[in-house]
Amino acid sequence: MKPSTRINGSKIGRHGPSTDPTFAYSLHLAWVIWLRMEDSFSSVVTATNNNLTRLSRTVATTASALSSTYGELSAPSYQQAMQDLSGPLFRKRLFSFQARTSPSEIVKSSLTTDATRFRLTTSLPDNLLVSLPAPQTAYSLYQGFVATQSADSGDPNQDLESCAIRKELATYEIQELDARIAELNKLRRVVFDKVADLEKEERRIERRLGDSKMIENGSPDPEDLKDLPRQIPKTRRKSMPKRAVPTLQKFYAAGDTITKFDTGSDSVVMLDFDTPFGTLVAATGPRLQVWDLGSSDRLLTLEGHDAAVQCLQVEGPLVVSGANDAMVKLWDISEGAELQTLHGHLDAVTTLHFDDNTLVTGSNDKTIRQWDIDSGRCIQTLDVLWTRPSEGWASAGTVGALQNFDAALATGTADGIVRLWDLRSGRVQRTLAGHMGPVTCLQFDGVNLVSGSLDNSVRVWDLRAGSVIDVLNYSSGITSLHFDATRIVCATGQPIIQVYDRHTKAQWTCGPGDTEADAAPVVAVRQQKGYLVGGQTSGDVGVWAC
Amino acid sequence: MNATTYYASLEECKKPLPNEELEILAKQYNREGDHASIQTRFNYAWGLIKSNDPEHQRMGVEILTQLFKSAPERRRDSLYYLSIGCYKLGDYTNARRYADALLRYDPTNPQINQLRQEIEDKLNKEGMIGMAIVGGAVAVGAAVLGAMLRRRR
Repeated sequence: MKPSTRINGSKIGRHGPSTDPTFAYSLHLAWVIWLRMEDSFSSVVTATNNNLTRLSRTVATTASALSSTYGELSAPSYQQAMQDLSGPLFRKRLFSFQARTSPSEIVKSSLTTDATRFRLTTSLPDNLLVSLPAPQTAYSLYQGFVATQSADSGDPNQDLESCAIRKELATYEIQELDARIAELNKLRRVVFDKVADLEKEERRIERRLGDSKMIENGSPDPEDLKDLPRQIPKTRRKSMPKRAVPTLQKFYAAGDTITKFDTGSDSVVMLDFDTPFGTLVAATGPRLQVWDLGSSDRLLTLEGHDAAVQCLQVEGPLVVSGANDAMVKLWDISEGAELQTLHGHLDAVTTLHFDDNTLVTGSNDKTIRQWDIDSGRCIQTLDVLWTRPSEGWASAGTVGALQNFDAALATGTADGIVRLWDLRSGRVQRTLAGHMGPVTCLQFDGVNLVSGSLDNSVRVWDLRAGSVIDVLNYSSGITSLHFDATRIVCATGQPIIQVYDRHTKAQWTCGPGDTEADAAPVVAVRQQKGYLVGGQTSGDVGVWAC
Repeated sequence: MNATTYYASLEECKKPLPNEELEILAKQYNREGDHASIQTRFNYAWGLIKSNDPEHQRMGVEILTQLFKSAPERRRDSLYYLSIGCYKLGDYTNARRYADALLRYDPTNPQINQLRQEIEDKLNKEGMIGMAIVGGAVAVGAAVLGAMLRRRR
């Protein structure tokens, strides 16, 4: 035996770790035999030897490559296997295996994981199978299907039958939808209450915030105020910028009653509030009542007027009221204190409005007075002596309504004419004639002026052109109105409030008359962002969504 | 006038719908989307269950499962066809469970009883095959063992 072949044979045995030793041995033997046969051809032996070493080398590298790739592969595949074992899928497979009885199922599901997943998602638990309520219709869904398919069969009897089935099934479906709607409404109620609670919480926190601010600033020393009339700090005039914006009224259906409370007085003649769910001030006889609209709690009663309060305005904590005793009073409702009394008018103050620190009041003494709120002085007196109540309206106040903005003033008087004044010159700039009866209420924005009169009509004017854009006619005299970009609401002395949508031109009503048979008439209305407050002659105050 | 029975028979369920009809049902189902009516959902599921394609049958079972969960008053309807769907998919355990649940409420219904019987037959047959397979495996195993033991000796 030649030493070179021995080396070759042992090389193969060493480098093929996965090869069976017996196999390697037999291979070795075969080569040895083959090489012996070659001995006779000694001339070619060296060349063959070279070839053989080359061959053995390639075999060795292939084997090592194979074993090494196996080693690299083994790590991820091993991890995969372990994941399979520990993962939920395996456990599920295990459990579903226990529940299985049929061999074909075992084979099927162990072949595909999709099948297992499918089984798990569609298999119904036993507790669901226990309650199978009887259907409320005589027809099954299958019959419904067949009825749909066999429509127009040509046989009238069968067609009629299939129609009956389809009708019944559709009827049943309506009931089912109603049930679903009821369910959704219930859910809505829950979420709605959540919003209501959150807004209540917001108000509570804001109130606390307001209190702490006041403590920080420190209230003025009472000694300093002894001689001086109480000053109204400028910051008080404008309400603190509210961060929380109440929006709950939006989620009520239009016309829904949001809240309702009894002021315990004979009548609510006039009212005003700051924000939805905020603070309301109502004129009830000579007293002013301050209410929390969110909780429907009375916060304060302001006493000081000697006769019935006719008009009032709320701006933050500042309230200005005018009464039949010819007095105008300024109040701070955050402290419940009377700030100042403005004397000057000689007869009942029927209307007032203030903007910034300019207050304008109208009285039955046939004058309109302009006041400076800070000093409490009367700056200007405008005579409206010429206004005579038109025939048959003797009971109306001389100046029914007014509103000022900067130097502009609009007045509505008993003669049915709306006048636009320039406060700087004290002259009438323009007259808007059209109403046949005394004007009782008016309001303007940058574009329009809306006035209400006892002649049963509401007129919408274009301020620039001075012409009437719209006339709304009702069945009784308008006592109070309020509008914004979206709608005009007005009280017509009826138990219902008239609402006019300015975009859709739709008219509808809401108020106590919708739900109560003998509700008292609403005489005063104010609204803000769909939050409508109305005062009734019974002393009740109602809040509706509009 | 031949009134249709309350449930469809098993034979009926084995006849697949023409493709275009199934297409119509699918279209209606997809058009109505999330708010598809119970009838629409059922119609489509029924068409799918009738199909011979296991993929269709599986989809049918899925829709019926949802129907069962969302429409309690239609549970008997959906459960019957769920049972058939499972039966056709070879999931005899669930098929039997559903049929049994239905029989608790309606023990005399011929269609449910027929379905139950079919499932039982299938299960028995499967059981026999299973036994045969297991028996065969045991026999082969014994032979191999014997041979090995003999060789060792």
